[in-house]
Amino acid sequence: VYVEDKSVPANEMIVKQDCPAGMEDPFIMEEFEIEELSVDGICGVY
Amino acid sequence: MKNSPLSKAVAAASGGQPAAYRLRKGVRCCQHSGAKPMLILDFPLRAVAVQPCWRPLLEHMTAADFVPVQALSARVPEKLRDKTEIFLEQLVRKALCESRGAPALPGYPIVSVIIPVRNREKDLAHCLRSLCNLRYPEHCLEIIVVDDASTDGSLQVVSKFPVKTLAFKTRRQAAACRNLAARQAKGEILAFIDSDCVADPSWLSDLLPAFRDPAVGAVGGLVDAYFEEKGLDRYEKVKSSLQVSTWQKRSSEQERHFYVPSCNLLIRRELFRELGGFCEDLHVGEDVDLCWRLQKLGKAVEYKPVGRVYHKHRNHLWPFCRRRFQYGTSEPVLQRLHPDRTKQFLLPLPEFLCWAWVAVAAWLGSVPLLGGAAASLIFQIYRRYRVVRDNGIPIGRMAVAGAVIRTSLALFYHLCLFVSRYYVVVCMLLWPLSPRLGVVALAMHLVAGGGQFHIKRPRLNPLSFLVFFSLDQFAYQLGVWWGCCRRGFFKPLLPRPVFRLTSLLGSKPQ
Repeated sequence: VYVEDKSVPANEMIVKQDCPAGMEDPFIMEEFEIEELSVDGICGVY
Repeated sequence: MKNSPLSKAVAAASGGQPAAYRLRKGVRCCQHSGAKPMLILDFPLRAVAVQPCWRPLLEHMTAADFVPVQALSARVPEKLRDKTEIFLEQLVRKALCESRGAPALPGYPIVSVIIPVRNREKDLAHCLRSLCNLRYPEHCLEIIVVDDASTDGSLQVVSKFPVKTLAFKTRRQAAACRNLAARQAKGEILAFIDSDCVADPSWLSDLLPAFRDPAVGAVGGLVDAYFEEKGLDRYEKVKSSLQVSTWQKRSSEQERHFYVPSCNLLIRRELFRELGGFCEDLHVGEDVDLCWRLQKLGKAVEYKPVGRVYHKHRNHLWPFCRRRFQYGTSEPVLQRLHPDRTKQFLLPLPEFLCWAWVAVAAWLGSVPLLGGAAASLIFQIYRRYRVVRDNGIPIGRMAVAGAVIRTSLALFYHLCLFVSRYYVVVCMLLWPLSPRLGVVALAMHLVAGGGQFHIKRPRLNPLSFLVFFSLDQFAYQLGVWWGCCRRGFFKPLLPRPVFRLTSLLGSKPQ
């Protein structure tokens, strides 16, 4: 499990290990789900 | 990664031919100077902003050619090079990237393959022959067969192969067999396969690299159909309950019901023992229970659409229906064991209101009321486009409109699928009391069947598919109702609605 070290610039992001379970790494900044559901289950959960 | 012996062994296993990646078809990369780099997937429409440090890597990825991970990691700052594969795997799980091949295995963990068997001498021989052909060094492989009081020649079959044999004198079911073998296994990884399965030679070498991530506790691979001759075979090929997904997935807070089936399941031995193994009181759904308990421990369950095993499905109608019925009966048991995993039904509020308008208009026979549905959709398109524009996402107005309409249709499809799965039989039984209810339920069942045919693309004509689909749904549904009535516990039939206004404002990755 990895988190971003905020003390360094984003382009020199250091990835730390052994962080609390359930936290994903910060490689991705933001997600925009414009289509919230799809028939094949790529988005939305049933 | 932690420096456990297993991590080292599996890391060594990845040291050969590197995995290769490319963007998924329909994904484009937008990298305007000054703006955050974005990956945009057209269907379903979503945008993902990545950290700027990965910009050079994205510049070298296209949807056309696979690029080796080493070539991609050479593009990023040195500090991040050993994290490149983690980043790319995350994009794969978000359906933005595709990966190809598996790393070669110059170093190997010891794996114990465990097979429970009861009265399947021919299938077992076939399964063991396939395991002898695994591309995996013999000295790192232990095969354990546990006989569940077979009355045929299964034990004699085992004696012809270089495997360890354990046996129960009275029938104890598969979960007890697997637990017995796990207690005696020497391998760091336990690999479960069923006696009616045939393993692909690359079964283990495809799946083991997933354990390089210490967060992963268990890995499941693709379960394909062994038979393809009969109509029911071709139905099972696309609609088997043992199929997890067509793309790579990992358990998460969102995927709360995620599991991988025990006929193709690899798990760390220490974790398996910590969990106390499979629940022996469960004769169906014990794999679901194990995966959910593993997730409670804070470990992830990963699914990769590789590491194939071929399953000999029940390809006669009665055994097929009986098995589906049994699967259905497990729902109330699992829901009661795991109240934190109560079934939910996601309802995006604007789209739900749109369909509510349509339903009221249809019920009252009022065309003007349909204007409410149209207004709801238009408002949603406006809201979403405004957020897209404010965040500088390069997506046009028409694309947003298309996405909103598709979301509405997808919601209707999922509602139809739910009614078809849990209520259509009851509604048909109530037909004399309320013919309109029966007609609506039947229509929704047909929509669900049509949708599944369109998505799964089986090698079957639509009518045959619909017949098998109906039997599948009805048998499962009777199983659920039977299980619920027997236990006086009806939560599986009453999922908790989760209304969501929108997630469009931008969410941090989960």
